[in-house]
Parts: sequence; C-alpha cells; structure tokens
Amino acid sequence: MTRILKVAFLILAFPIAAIAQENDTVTKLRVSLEEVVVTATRTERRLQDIAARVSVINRDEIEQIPFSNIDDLLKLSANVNVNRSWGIFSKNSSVTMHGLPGSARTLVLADGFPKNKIGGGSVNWHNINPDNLERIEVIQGPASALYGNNAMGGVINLISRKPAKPFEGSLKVLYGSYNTLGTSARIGGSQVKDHQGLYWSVDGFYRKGDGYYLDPPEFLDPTDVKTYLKEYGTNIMTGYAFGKAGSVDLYLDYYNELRGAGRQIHVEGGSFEATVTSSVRTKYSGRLAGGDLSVLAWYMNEDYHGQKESLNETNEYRLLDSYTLKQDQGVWTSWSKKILPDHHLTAGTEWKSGSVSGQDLYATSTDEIRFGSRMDIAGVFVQDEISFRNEKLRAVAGLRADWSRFHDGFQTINEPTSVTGFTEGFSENFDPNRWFALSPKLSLQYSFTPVIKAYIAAGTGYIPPDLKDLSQTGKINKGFRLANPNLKPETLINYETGYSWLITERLKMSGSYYYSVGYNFQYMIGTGDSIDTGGSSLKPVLVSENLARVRILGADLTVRWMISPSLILDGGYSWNDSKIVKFGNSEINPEKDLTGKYMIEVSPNQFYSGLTFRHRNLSANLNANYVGHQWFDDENTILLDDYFVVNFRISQTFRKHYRIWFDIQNLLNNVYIDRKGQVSPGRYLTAGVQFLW
Amino acid sequence: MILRTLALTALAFFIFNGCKPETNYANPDIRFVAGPGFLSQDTVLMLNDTVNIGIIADTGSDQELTHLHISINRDSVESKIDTALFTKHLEYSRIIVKGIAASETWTFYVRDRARRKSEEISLTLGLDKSSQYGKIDSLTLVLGAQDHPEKGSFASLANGKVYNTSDAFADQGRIHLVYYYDPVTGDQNTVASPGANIDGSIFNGPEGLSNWSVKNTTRFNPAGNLTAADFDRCRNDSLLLTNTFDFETGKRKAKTLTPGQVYSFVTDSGIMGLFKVNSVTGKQDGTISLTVKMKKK
Repeated sequence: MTRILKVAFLILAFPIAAIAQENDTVTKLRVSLEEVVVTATRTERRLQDIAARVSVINRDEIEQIPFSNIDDLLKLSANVNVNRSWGIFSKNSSVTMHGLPGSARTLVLADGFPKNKIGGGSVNWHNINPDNLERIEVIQGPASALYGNNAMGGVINLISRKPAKPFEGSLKVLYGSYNTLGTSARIGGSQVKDHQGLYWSVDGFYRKGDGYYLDPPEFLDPTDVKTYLKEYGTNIMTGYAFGKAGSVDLYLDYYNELRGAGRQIHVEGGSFEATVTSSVRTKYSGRLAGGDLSVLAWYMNEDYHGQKESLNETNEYRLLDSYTLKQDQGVWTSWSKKILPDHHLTAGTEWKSGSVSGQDLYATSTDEIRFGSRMDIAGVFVQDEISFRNEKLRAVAGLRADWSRFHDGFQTINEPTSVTGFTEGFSENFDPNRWFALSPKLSLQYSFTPVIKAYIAAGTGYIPPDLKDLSQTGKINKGFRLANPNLKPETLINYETGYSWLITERLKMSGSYYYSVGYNFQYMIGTGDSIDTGGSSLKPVLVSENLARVRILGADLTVRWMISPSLILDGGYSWNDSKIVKFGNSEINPEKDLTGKYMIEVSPNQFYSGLTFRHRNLSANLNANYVGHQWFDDENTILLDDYFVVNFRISQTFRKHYRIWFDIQNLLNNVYIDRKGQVSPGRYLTAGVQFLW
Repeated sequence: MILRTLALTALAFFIFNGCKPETNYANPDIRFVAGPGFLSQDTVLMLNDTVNIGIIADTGSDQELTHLHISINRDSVESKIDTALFTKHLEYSRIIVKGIAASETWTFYVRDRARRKSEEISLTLGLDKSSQYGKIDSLTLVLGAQDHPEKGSFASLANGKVYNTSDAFADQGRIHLVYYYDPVTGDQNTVASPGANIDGSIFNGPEGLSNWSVKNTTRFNPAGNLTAADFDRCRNDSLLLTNTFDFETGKRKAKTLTPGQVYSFVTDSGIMGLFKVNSVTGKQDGTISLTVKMKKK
C-alpha cells in the first residue's frame, strides 16, 4: 500500500503546471465513441453501438505507452491479465481474460486471422512488429457464438497499418538494459486512387540481448547463465483495391527466434528454445448478393527446437532435443447484409485444421519419443443485429455450430530408460474422437442518451481439448501425464451487464459485471501410481479429466479523465472470484475433490492507472500496474505474491520526421518471483530513435 | 536517401539472414583397449574372477560424444547401462567380476551430440564349469537416526565400524552407509550413502553431508525374491551373485524400510552384498538393526 501511495504522489507531482492549450485533443473522448471497430460483430460498428465490453488501444496510445512487447499494451484494457515474468526474454506470455486462466481460452487475431495455434492454443506475440500496428481491439467475455473455439474469455484483434502515402517508411534503433539492441525498418506505399490501386508494405525487425540470471542470487550455481535473446522477422503485405468491387490482401510473414533458458552445462548455447515461424495469409473483401463478403485463408508453419541441458538431483547429466512442427491452415468466410431496414444479418462458415508432430530425442540416453495428432474444426454461424426505437435499443442474436474432430493421434516410444519413465517401448494409435457444440448469444443495448448506454448479454464459450492432453503421454513438471483421448470440450455460459457513460466531455467511465459458469473444465488428477523418471523421488502418474464446474463472478471499471487538453488520466480496476464449485465423478480417483478451490493464474484484484501528458511534440506517460496474489497450484497450497510495477515513457518528435524516446519499465525495480521460482528482470531501461518519412 | 538505403539494407538482412551451412559428420569410432591388463576378446573365466575391460572412443566430427551405452546379456537376460558424456575422446574402463551366468556378453557403443552411433563392439565371458562359490563375511550393524543421542548414523563396510557424525566427517573415505529418518518426503526409515541426494537439513552443521569432500556412493535394489529365512540360510556368495546388479542400475536409497526386508547393494568401490532389516524403532531419534552379508575380503 505504501508503494501505491508513492506512485499516487508521483502522479500528482507530475508537471500539471506545464499544461498548455491544445484544441485538437479536446473532443477526443467524444470522438472515441464514434470509433469504428470490426471485431465485436464482424461488421464495422461504432464503439458506442456495440452491446459488449469493448476497448480499443489506438496508434496514439501505442506510441505513448512504455512497452517492450505488444502484449504489454494489453494491460491498458481492464480485466486482461498479462503474465510475462522474464520480460522480453520470456518465450511465451500468458494473456488471460475475464477471470479465466489459460492463454488458449483467449482468442487472438491478427487482421482477423487467428493466431492461436490449434496445437496448444498458444500465441507467439513476438512475431508482430509493433511499428506495424494500427490498433488493438479487445472484446471482453465469451464470443464463441461468432468465433468458435478459443473465444471463451474474450477476443483480441491486432490490426496492422495500411500505408497511406505513395511512399512512406520508418527506421528505428533502440538500446536497452541487459545490452539489448534492436532495430526495425518499415517501408510501404499506396497508389490507391478513387479506391483503386496497389498498396504494399515491407517491414523487418531485429532484436538481441544478453539477458540476466533467472535464478535468485542465493540459488545461483555454476550452471546458471544469463538468459539471452536473438530474434528477427519480416512481414510483407501487398494488396489491390478494385474500387467498390473490393480488395485482395496478401501477407507473408517470417520470424526466427532464439531464447536462452538460463542454464548451460556443456553445450554451446545451453538450454534454449528456437522457433521459426512462417505464414502466408490472404484476404478477399468484396460484394456478393448485395452484401459484404470476406474470405480469409491462411497457412502457418511453426518449427520448434528446444535444447535442454540439466542435472538431476544426483548430478546426472541429461541432454534433450525436442522438435515440434505445428501446421495450421484454414478458410473463413463471412457475409453481411442489411436485410430489412432494422436488421443486419451476418453469416459465415469456418474451417480450420491443425497438426502437431514431433520428437523428443535424448542425446545422453537411448530414449526416443515420437508423437503426432491432428484436429479439424468446422463451424457455421449466423447473427442478426436488430435496432429498435430509432436505434436507441439494439439487439444482437447469434448462433454458431461447431464440429471438431481429433484424429491421427499416435505416440511411439523407442528404447526407453528411466530418464523418460517408460518401462518399455511401445507404439500406440489413439482412437479418433469428435465433438459438437452449439454456442448461442443474445445481447441488448439501450442508449438512454447519446452519452449513456447500458447492455445486458448472455453468451457462451467453447473450447475442444488440447492435442497434448489427448495424445501425449510423458513426463511433465508436475509428474507423468497419461494421454486421454476421451476428453470432452469445456463450455461456459456467461451473463453480463455493463455500461458506458460519457459524464462530461472530459470524463468517461465504463464498467461491467458478470457471472459465468464453466462446465467440464479439465483438471489433472493422480491415478495413485508413481513412476521412476531417474530422479531421487518417484513422479505421480496424472491424467486430465473433465471434472470441474467453475463459477466466475467478476466486475471491472475503467475511467478516462481528460484533466486538460494535455493531460489524460486512465484508470482500470478488475475483480474476479474464480472458483471450482463442483468437482468429481472421476473413475480413476473418486477421492480427489477440489470443490471450493480457486482457479490458478487468476488474480482477484488487478489495477491499472496511467497519466499521459502531451504538449506540442513532447509526450510522457507514467503508469502503474498492480496484480494481486494468485494461486500457484490447483490444491491452493501455494500463494504467489502480488506485485506492483510502475513504468514511464517520455518521447519527443522533431521536425515531424525524427522521434526519440526513453522508457523505464518497472521504475521501482520491484523484482518478483514467478510460478517457477524465477525472478523478473527488474528495472528495464530503453532508449530509441526513429526516423519517419 | 542514406536512411532509406539503410532501411532497405536492413530489410534485406532480415530476409536473408539465418542460412547456415550444413555440417557433415562421420560416425564415432569405438574400440577395445588391447594393451596389457585389459581383456579385449572372448574368454572363459572362473566365478568371481576379475577382468578389466577398456574402451576408447572418438568423435567423428566436431560434435562431442554424449552417450555410452552398455548392454549386458546374461544367459538371455538383458540389462542396460546408459552413461551421459560430453567429450570428444573417451577412455573408459570397467572392472567386471564374473558372475554366475554361464555366458555373459558385454556390448558397447557410443553416440555423439547428433545421435550418430558408432559400431557396436562386444565380448563374451563364459563361466568355467569347475567354478565354486566363494566365502562370505557377516556382520550386524545397529545405527541411530540423525537425532539419536548415542548411536552413530554412519557405517563402513570396509571395517564394519559405526561412526557418529564427527568421526564420519573425519574419515569420509571409509563411509558406505548412512541411516536416517526422513519425515518430509515420506521416505521415512532410509539407508543410503553419502553420495545420495540427502536433504541438507537432515545432517546439517559444519560436519553435515553438504560439507563433505569425499562422498562414496552405494546403490541398492530390493532382493525381491529373497525372504528373511533365505537370507539367514546364506552361507556362501551364491545368493549374493544371484541377486546382484550392475552398479549404475541400482537406487541410491533404500526407503521405507521395515523388518524382514532384504536388499542387495553394490558400492562404487565394488563391494557387493545383501542386508536384512532386523528391526526398526522410533523416528528421527530411532535405530535400525541390519545384518550384512558380503563377499569375503
């Protein structure tokens, strides 16, 4: 609490006296209500017309907020929990929403294309160049009626910039703590006249850093090395506008990353994770039968290599190479038309398919594990947006049907030793499985005045089981997992009400309250057996089952106050009470009962506050983020500490072409310990310069 | 203009960087040491005869050798030993005591970092049919757990003595067995050795195990087929040889011990034998009584 007061003091001490008059931002809050978003209904709608909790992080904010990764920006949206405990050195971050744990329960889109991989549902946030980002749309709450799987906690859509000038570009160089060096370049152009012509952009980025020690100083041993980072990527976009007939966009993406894991025993580079991701995406927007048609098709390939060096409790050396290939592809279509004066119909079909295949090869023993599986998902949806009473009352009704199919699952174990825990080699083909889900949605919004609106909504979320849980038996951190091809999907029903109120031209407030019930949530339970995996103690045998009914009560509140035309205060608070309310019916272990336990990775209290100052070409932002304690384990025996981080950015633009900035992330150097007992990087400084033309 | 050129150059770098030439490997090479004192071809031995086998292996590339695999086929019963390495040149030797199998074949190969495998080399040891079982030594050890006020927790199989913590610290090289009660992990009454991974809180202080510079390791396996009566009847090394195991395949701890259990053990210095739990009393301040039978020195 003392630290919160310190930050409050810092915010108040901010140079309010320097506030000058600038008229261009006075009406920004009102304008923000007119902002058009595309994610909530898959049609272009004004923010104020959407019967859901929607927030937008626009280009202005992206340039003003201190961040190192795109997911850092999501902290601006209330009720989004971002867990990136190693900062830029984290391979993955966990982005969760609406009181639900697990990244796979949040759907992330890039220009409408899904970024969650079918295998695991994770998202690589690194392969998007922040300089190429126009805005981020965040839809809170389940949206499976429109988007199907993954959209259980909400939807995040990262929308990239399209070139506006005949030739434009930027070049950026940055230097930061831990000898981090980064550069980014972007060029593009638009020859579009009268909605017709070619547009294109090419961008590339590179970043490297020496990193830091992940273990706390008192636990460092000779095998500890600094985690490190080297990544580069490029995105190529080209498109052609056919006038009123529509447009075609083509995206080619390539990304290569190497991230050290903080341990080196013998091999150069020590333990690391390396990923090469490439994708091709294409989008057609046009007209069909008097409506707007959108067709998206994509193919994504992710090639992963993890090298893991370790010493077990008795100092026996292990060297493991893990290779995983994930391939996703899909075609999504959406058609939208105003069918009656007050009805806007949107319908579509979706198909996507993903596979995971790989092998774990031990260089220090004979063990070889090979695995593979595939999932196909097909969906159809329809949605009607209806307006009544001169558009004061709006209703959205939607229904979606999804068919998911798991197949071609196999696992082969060759020459196992105690290192992997298998007692003998085997080869197993898993039985295919399929599921069907119906996801309805109904929401109503009433605009009391042009500046006050309220909504109520009932929606559903749905997610099929993960390929790993279905088809990969083997050692994991907690024990030894048995594959369970008989898992079922998780579903969720959400009831929600919310409001948005532009109290004055300078003060806007919005909030929501929700009650969700989740069914068939997966939990791992012990079978009662244990396996020797070469350590000094036996590992429990675990299996995932659909065992829990969960209940989430939550609320969030955001406030934006334009204190003066140059000074904006943002605040956001969210509260979640995410509990297991019924647990059991396990055939394997009927004794296990987690009823009444809290879900992990969910902080009951989360707070964000930011103060942004803009005067002519100078801008500065000071923000604070508090994340309350979270449970580490399903049994609720270990509670992770809460943490509080303050960040600062100051930037100045010269002659419209040059921009310099300086970031301090974690200003108070509040080092916290993550779920694996590893420390955060602490205070992180970055300075950069950018040339724009 | 310069900056635009720089930007284009940077883009070209991003796009074309990352192409690495492929490395060509040759498979590792492995051979028996053929010099004096080493056995390098098939032979017939008497029971309990000791031979030394030497292996030399070299990587065939710039990739280190990471794995030595030994498989032993004793009268069609196979066991395997995998040893992690990280070296370009391996010189390995192993003392083999001829066991009771009529035929035992030892096969060796190495692999490098890229899992390239050498050829397999092997030799077979036959048992001379005129062999006779050897004599054994028997002794009884009463050990106290870590908080026992009088009885020591450490024992030497070389001289049959029991040591308290101070004396054991002063004579680390002779200690082969440690007895303690572990209330944390559930291991409870445990016999291990200084080289086992024993929680530092159990024998703490300046003379605690974490401060030892020499830590002998003894490995254990339950002698599952042996009853206490079988153990008591044992008068020569036949049961020891029947129930012994390759050192690397044993466990570092014999846990949750209860009266009547029989364990086989092998030390890193080659002492092999059996022990039987006679009695266990108490917890951290309790005692254990063991009868140990091992090959006569």
